[in-house]
Amino acid sequence: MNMKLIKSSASVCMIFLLLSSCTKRNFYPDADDPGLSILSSYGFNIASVYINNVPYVNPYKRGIIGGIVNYAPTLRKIQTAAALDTLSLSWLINKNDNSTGYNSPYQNISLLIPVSKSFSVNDFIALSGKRLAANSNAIAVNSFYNPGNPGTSNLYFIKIHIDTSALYFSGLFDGKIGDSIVITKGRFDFKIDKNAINF
Amino acid sequence: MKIIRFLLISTICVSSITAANAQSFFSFSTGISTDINRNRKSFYQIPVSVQWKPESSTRLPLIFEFDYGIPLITTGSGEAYTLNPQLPEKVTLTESIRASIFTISVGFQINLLNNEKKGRLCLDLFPLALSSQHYKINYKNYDKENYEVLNPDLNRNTGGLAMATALIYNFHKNQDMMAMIRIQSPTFTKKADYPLSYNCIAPLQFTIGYNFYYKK
Repeated sequence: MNMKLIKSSASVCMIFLLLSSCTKRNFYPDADDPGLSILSSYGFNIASVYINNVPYVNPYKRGIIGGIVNYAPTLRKIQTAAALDTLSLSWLINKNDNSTGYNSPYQNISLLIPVSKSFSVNDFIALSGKRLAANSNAIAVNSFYNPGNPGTSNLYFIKIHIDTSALYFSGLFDGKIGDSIVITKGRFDFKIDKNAINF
Repeated sequence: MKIIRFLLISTICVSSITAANAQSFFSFSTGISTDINRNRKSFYQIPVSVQWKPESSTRLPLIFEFDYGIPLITTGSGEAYTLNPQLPEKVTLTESIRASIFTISVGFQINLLNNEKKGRLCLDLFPLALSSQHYKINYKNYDKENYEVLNPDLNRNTGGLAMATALIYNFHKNQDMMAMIRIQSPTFTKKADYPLSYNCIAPLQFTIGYNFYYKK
């Protein structure tokens, strides 16, 4: 009887711990840049940016057993017919002000870097600490109705490292698309499962 | 555990033998305080301590203590990065942390030794203390327009229950002067979600002051 009680108590505790372990949004407000999260490198899966001075952040979803999970980005190598392939880092975005996500003119942001056909994870890790100039990569913001053309971007991979299960990378970005879209103060802190990478 | 139990029993025995000071008083003291909670940074403060013993006749008189730690600046460093190609990619900034603590403690006083000519040694035990801690972070010469600090420390307001104890020596020869060594536990509170470079402070303070007796 006592063993049963202990087992059921332990199960309740485990469920409680499981629920409480995934309740973090990991959005830590930057006091100097309202609406944005601070620049971090802990694999929080958080990214925030101003687009035309409006704050945007990647959205979150409710976990199956409760709690909050930030949407992770996709990091893919897109094969092209040209001499170089394109490394695409893209993630969903929502306005991070009082308006609803349905009013958001942009749903997605992509950083596009031309890379060699043989580009590998090790090459990606070698980008750690590298600041890429505006002429070496591009940025695009897309909506459901408007795929959008890429513009110029500055990109800085501050830290990249890998462990047995995931790739962690954090950095800064900004950019300009035509005369109408100005992207400033972008920062990201991502963690991607190794199995989700296609290169 | 055996040692702690022995010390506790001994002190209670000593206190039952030694008569408590039969006077109510206020005491004011100040000095220097440091942190003993294994912080990577050294926090120092100027403590201002007020004790009040309202009762005058019991053997284990109730005692109230109010402590405020005026913060001295603790320095650290932070790294900031920029996208601006006209500026250095990375700069190291000096970080300053001001940590202030306010604590209200309730406990009782045990007389350990009482020499009519020289002085009196007491032990204060505070099983219940409520502590509020504030940490204010600043990065010196931080160009907020162009740079972003990576993994910055954040301002924090926290508080919770704690325990404290103090050893007090009252100098009879020197017109009610007193000296106190006080130690307080860290607050029993949840650790911050965000990884900070500092922990809650557990102050160890040394103060000197005066007792003001009001029922002689």
